[in-house]
Amino acid sequence: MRTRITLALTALVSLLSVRILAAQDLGPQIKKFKDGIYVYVGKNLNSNCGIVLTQDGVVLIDSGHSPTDSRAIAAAVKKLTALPIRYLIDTEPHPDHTTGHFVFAPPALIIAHQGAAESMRGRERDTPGRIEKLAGTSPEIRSALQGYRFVTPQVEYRDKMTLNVGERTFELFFQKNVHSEADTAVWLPKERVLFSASGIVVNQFNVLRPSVTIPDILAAAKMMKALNPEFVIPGHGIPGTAKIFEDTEKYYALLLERVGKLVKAGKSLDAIKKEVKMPEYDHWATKERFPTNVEAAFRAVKGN
Amino acid sequence: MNTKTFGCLMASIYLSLAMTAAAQDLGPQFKKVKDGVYVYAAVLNEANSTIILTQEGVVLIDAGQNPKDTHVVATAIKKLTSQPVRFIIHTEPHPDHIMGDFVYSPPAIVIAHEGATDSIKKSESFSPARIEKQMSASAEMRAAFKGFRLITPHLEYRDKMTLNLGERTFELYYLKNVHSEADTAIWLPKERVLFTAASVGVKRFGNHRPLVSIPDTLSGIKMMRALNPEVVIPGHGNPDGAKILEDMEKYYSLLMEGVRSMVKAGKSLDEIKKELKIAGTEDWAGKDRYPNNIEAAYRAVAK
Repeated sequence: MRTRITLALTALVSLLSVRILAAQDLGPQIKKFKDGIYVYVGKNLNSNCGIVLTQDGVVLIDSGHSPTDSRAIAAAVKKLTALPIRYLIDTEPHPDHTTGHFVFAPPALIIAHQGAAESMRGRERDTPGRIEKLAGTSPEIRSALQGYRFVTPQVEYRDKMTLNVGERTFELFFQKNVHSEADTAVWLPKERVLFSASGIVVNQFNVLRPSVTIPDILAAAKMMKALNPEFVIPGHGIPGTAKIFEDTEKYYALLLERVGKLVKAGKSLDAIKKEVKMPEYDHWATKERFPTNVEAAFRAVKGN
Repeated sequence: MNTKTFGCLMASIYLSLAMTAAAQDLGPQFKKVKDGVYVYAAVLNEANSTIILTQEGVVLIDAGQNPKDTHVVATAIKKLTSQPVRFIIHTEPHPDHIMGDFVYSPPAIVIAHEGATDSIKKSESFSPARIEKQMSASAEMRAAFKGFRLITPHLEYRDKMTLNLGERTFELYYLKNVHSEADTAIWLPKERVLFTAASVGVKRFGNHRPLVSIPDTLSGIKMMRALNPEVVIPGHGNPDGAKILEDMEKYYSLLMEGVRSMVKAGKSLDEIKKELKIAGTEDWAGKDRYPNNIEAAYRAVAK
């Protein structure tokens, strides 16, 4: 009996030390969630990148916030496996998820929802000199940008796609009007790990562009909650559980209620923007985005 | 002769010339239908396998009737380019389109419509006994099966997807209830080349399983005609122009009309099978399938 306990304890200690060692080797930003499933958690709410190992190669979910992150991710993958990165799934086409494409593709195949390439091309047209400006921000970024090419997704699906790699299955779901022109949630059904994209964020206010609707965000939250995930990895913010969706539902319900009352009282959008308060969320970051939340709530309450 | 007919005739002549010029290096079973697009079938009406070259590698539409054909195509690819086959797109999950995938994959990524993997896993056609039977057909066939593994698709899309590779774009459209559980039409918009899958044949009756719906097939044909293709490559049969689609649309319309009027006249399914003749199909192949075409039309009329 005692030997058994000792053995079990030794095994546990050795397992723990392997994990601790692994984490140290890979740097403080990489967290392990399941066997072979790691997340490079962006600093200061920068975008996250999922690293999923399979018997047939690596699948990345997003490519890092900036090219320095992409390089760090590439180096971490090399420490984890000798297999190549075969697929890169974009949760959205914005630069903080896609500028690093060139680090991985080719040979990685980039998959996104329909409209992603067009969105990327539009931004490239509208912001000439974007990469030069980015390179100017620090010598590290300039160096990480070496060999930069503008790379758009090779595969664009519509509504739903399944990717089978080795022993793993990745289900890709389109999320309509939650953040960008082409938002994708990625669900690993066997592992019960969900990459929930940027429609739902943690401890911060999201940017709700004119194309975003709160009812669509709530529908996405409901759908993703129904998957009953064990781990939820948002596009930005600390990974957690399905509680992320509950928090989001609570926040938007409260926002809709308060904006609704003011609309009923005949207030204008400008007046509502000044008056509506959400003190429960004072600890959230990116407060400058709150007015876009009020605008979206106003549209929802007005029914357009 | 009006301008349209003249245009069609010129297109036909151009196509035939292009096809003749093509074959020389690769063998007579290869037809070049556009720059960098080669269609292969060893025997007329066996499944086509098409090589499409791009600046970033090869896309293959279907893997060939059997692994022997797959190897013939693989040899041709090596003559055409040093680049690898990066993608195989399945027009359907039946063995005469996919058995040879293992020759290219990995590293090739196999793409099909949702349901293809399920169809492959459930199909008796891929049972060890059936595969052994196919292998034992000849020593060459057994050799062609060397290293065989059943590959299921890596990417399964739903309804529509786009693949961009090098200078080319491939639009994949699901064709519902036209032949199998997962039929895909592939459209190259810049080249105006269309792969119709087995939704249509060329002077040949299709095999209409119980899941096949003629109204769905007709709407698939209508959708594909609207693309205004210059080159049409069916799942089986010689490539040609949009005429393939027009002929099949005409056939299905006549079939539906014939069955409908006989049902109205109180005829039974058996009587219709015996009596109904469709003008213009006298020289079509696959006559043993004609009864199941009538059954499909009868199901549609009865609805």
